[in-house]
Amino acid sequence: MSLTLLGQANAESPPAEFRDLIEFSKNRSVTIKEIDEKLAPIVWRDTTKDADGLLIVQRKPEFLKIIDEFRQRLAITNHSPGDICDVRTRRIGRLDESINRKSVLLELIEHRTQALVTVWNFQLDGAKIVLFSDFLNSNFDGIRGTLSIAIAKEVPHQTIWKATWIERELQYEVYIHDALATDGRPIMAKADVLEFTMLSARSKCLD
Amino acid sequence: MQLLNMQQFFNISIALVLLCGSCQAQALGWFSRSCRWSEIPASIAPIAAIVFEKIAEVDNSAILKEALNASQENKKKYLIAESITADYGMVRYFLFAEARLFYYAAEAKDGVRYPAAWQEAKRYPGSNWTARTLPTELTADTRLQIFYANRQLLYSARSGSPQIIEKAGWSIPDAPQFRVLGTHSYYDPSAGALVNLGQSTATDCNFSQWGVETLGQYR
Repeated sequence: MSLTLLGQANAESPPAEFRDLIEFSKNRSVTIKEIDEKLAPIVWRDTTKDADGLLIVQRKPEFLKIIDEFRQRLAITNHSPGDICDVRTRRIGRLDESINRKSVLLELIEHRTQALVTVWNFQLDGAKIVLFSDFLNSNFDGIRGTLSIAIAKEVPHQTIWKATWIERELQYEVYIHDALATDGRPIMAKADVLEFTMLSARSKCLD
Repeated sequence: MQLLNMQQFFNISIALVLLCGSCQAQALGWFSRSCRWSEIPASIAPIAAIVFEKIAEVDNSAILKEALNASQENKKKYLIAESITADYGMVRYFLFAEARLFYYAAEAKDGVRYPAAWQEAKRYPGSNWTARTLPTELTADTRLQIFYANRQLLYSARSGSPQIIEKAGWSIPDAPQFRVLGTHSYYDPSAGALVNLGQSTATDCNFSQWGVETLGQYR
């Protein structure tokens, strides 16, 4: 039997540099990779590093609303009302993406700040992760990870801090909303953000 | 496009409940679809055609009209083969998907007929690294709520035919079994992390994930 499909597809699939990395990572759960000449134009396209090593990433304006969007999803999905899980944190709501991946919106009681935490057992989901070494700019309880702020031209006075690290088989992502001062710097100090991040990641509300 | 009669509306309302039972409020998702037009319930096909016409990269009105008007046997000739990586509820990453189409058939070579096996028919171009969202004209169209009742916030990347639906050229008695194999990844620019989500496979229409395709896979 001969088989033809009308309308042949182009066999190329951009970008080849990322494809190579995906192939490279197939047999390892986590790979740390240097950014070479081929990758640099892609990886640094919308990202800069300031003098303190903080990554500043241009994102779509929707990204800066990520915590608001999450709160709206909580409102329409009939999740349980917030619980005080320990003396320092209160759970505003939780959504499970899968049995291995959950997102929890927390209130850090004494700091009057909210943090959105996603914890993912990526190994159980069979995912493989490649990390770019230049992005490993922070320390989370002794583990190297990434701390960045997101900015968008359309939303000039707002930012989202994002902390990401891998601890054993778990990947943590912590989002914290902040404002930008007139000089374009975030209002919160980096040390405070790191404290809020670890307070969130260790909260009993994630259990 | 055809107008719906009352019976079709009734059927759709039932299907709406079935479909949205699996809508995810907020999640990362990756899946494939390998679907013949003949497998789509008659109650859903006209609505699907409207969606496919609006989201196709190129003009597909002629092939959709053909598929809608074809006999049940001939509807088997029209395929929807695609792989999609999606982020429901939040835009967090640049998503990537790539689809490959396989068929299961015996092959004759040099006078010998070999046992049936999966053979690759086509590799579709990978999506761009992107997070496309649904156009308002789709989500606001009341006729299409069967797909979009709970999907106003949906970001995705798709690999498949630019026409969404395509016609395969084989004789009806030999119409083979199809399978789509998808590979899925995302890049998080805020973390410098490239995540290989793995593969998905499908041999059916995967109705729980209808309506997830978004505009502009090659842009």
